[in-house]
Amino acid sequence: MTSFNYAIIGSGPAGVAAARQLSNKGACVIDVGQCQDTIFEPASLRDALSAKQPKTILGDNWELLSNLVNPNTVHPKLRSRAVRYVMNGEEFSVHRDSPTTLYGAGSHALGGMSNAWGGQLLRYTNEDLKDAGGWPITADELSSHYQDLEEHIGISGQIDDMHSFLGNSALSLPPLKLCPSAKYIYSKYKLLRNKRIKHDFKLGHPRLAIATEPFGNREAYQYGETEFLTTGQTGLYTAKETLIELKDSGSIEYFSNSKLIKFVEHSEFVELEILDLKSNETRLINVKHLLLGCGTIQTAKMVLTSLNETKHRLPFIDHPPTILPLFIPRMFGSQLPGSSFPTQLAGTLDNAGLKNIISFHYPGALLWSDLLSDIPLPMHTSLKALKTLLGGMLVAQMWEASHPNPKNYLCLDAKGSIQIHYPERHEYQGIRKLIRSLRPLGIYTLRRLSSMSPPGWGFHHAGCLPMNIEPEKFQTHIDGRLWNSMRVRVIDGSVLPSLPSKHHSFTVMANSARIADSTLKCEY
Amino acid sequence: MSVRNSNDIESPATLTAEAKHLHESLFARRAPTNVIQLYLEAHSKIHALTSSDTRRQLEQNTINTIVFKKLNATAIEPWLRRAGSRHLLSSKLLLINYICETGGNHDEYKRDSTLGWSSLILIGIKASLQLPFGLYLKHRHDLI
Repeated sequence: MTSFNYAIIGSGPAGVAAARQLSNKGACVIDVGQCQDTIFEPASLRDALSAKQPKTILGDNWELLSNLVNPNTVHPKLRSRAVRYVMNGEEFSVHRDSPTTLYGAGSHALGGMSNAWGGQLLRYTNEDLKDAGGWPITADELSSHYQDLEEHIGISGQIDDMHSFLGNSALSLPPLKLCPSAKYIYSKYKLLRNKRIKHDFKLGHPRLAIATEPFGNREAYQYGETEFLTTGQTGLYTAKETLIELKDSGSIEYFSNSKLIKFVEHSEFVELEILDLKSNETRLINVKHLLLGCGTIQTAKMVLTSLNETKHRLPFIDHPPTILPLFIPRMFGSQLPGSSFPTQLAGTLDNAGLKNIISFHYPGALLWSDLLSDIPLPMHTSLKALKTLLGGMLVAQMWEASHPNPKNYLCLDAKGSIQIHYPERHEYQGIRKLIRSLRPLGIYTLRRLSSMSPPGWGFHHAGCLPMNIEPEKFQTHIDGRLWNSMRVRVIDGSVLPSLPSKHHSFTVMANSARIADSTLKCEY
Repeated sequence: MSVRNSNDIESPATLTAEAKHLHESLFARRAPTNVIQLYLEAHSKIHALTSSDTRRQLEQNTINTIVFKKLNATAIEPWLRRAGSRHLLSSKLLLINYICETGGNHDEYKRDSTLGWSSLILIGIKASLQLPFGLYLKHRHDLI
């Protein structure tokens, strides 16, 4: 029987952050490790469009149009054939209010969900954790891990008005090139600030895991506008890169095509039953410590299954974003950039008491056909309007804090499939204030154009096994251990007790590194 | 002669007529052959377009009426839009859009040319005439 000191399940952001801490310490990463099975060849969206080969974009089996009739059933980022492998895992369904159902799947991809992320790596501050509530640790306890990861990944951005709101990240790369409409509103913002005109808004460059210039072994990002069509863009960091580095340097063992079926904890070790997906044979591995980082939903299922508690309901937190198109009339009719990254600017209204992050996106990576049904005009008129409007358009995404709600929960059905019930979701309260605050920047929009994404849409899941100082059943200790365990720890989003109003990926990574660190220090 | 009913929808001839009419309604010109071929292929691959539930059949009847009577599909479509699951007419017009955009042959989607403010005003005037006309057609022909 094989044995290791540490086994990490999953190669996503959480698994890889823990693997870095446990490298050269007898650790293995166990993972399905699915890779991209379809290569999207064009270097940019414009190259793909000018190739005049519709199936290159639409997919041989029309995958890109899988939500043609039911637009909310497949996330726009996961439609393309070359991206679908990211969510080729165990299925789950999210029930909001019947008949709205979103079908999703946990990621079995090498690098997990980081293959489809937008790269915004944001620190939580002590204030964020206090406002969100329920956190038994402070952001200070994550600080050294944030910094270590920032130095490893390379974060682009600038010390600007958003710096303290974004947690004073360690920036090693210059900010991303802005599209003309973002450049215009940012210059207008700086003008207002320099003239000391009172305004509620703070605006700055986003903190992104993007190599805006060569960084370490990474080449610079190419601005190909292919984020909705493929993964693995040069210069956009994913957890996969770190895993490959660790594996190639021999610092960890990596078992791909392997799936944890269940674990049994003994006093001296944890026994893992692993299914080899190639040979379809199971084998046993003994480890001193097990770190579960399969992703919030899959980890919850693993714990329920392994502990034979399949009828139990676990709390479930999500914070799907609210989306609002923005119009900058001064920029209507301006030339479209042709090379851009979706996330352009980050802002907040925290001067006016609304502490959530507002991301400004340029929709250049979307097909125009994706936008037509959102414009309340005949489609051929909308198409002409887009030619004028797009140069002066951005889309705001607002993320709100989210807390456990007894009506929102995760459970397993009779067949063992994951069911998520999410009937209650608060509306974003700041739309009016936001619209008013944007006017001095030359941005106009209408409240009725805003839309709330359905639960499951933002991939920000948390809270199934929340950490607590004195954990109750189905909670975790501060060092990640399950409430009744000495050797099984949870390292992914499951342990976050609430979600502050910012992207949680970076905190999942930093917290995972913190838990791995405390595992190293434990004396058994 | 009567409007085809939804049982005919699988027939290539019906789908070809549909593709031609919807393309003409969107772009005011004849549909290229490859667009029609791809439109037919999409119907064999995207099952939600051809499912047999009652609502879809009613919506297909609406499309059949629009094609048969050569009604202005793009003017009617905004009045049939709804949240959640799309009306079949919206889905099929979008399908034509996707095929034409990714085909790279339609100047309407060229990203290196833009239109100025004056065009936007003309577009607004045109839309303000078309929308009431679409609403009239919807009621005149009992389209659902």
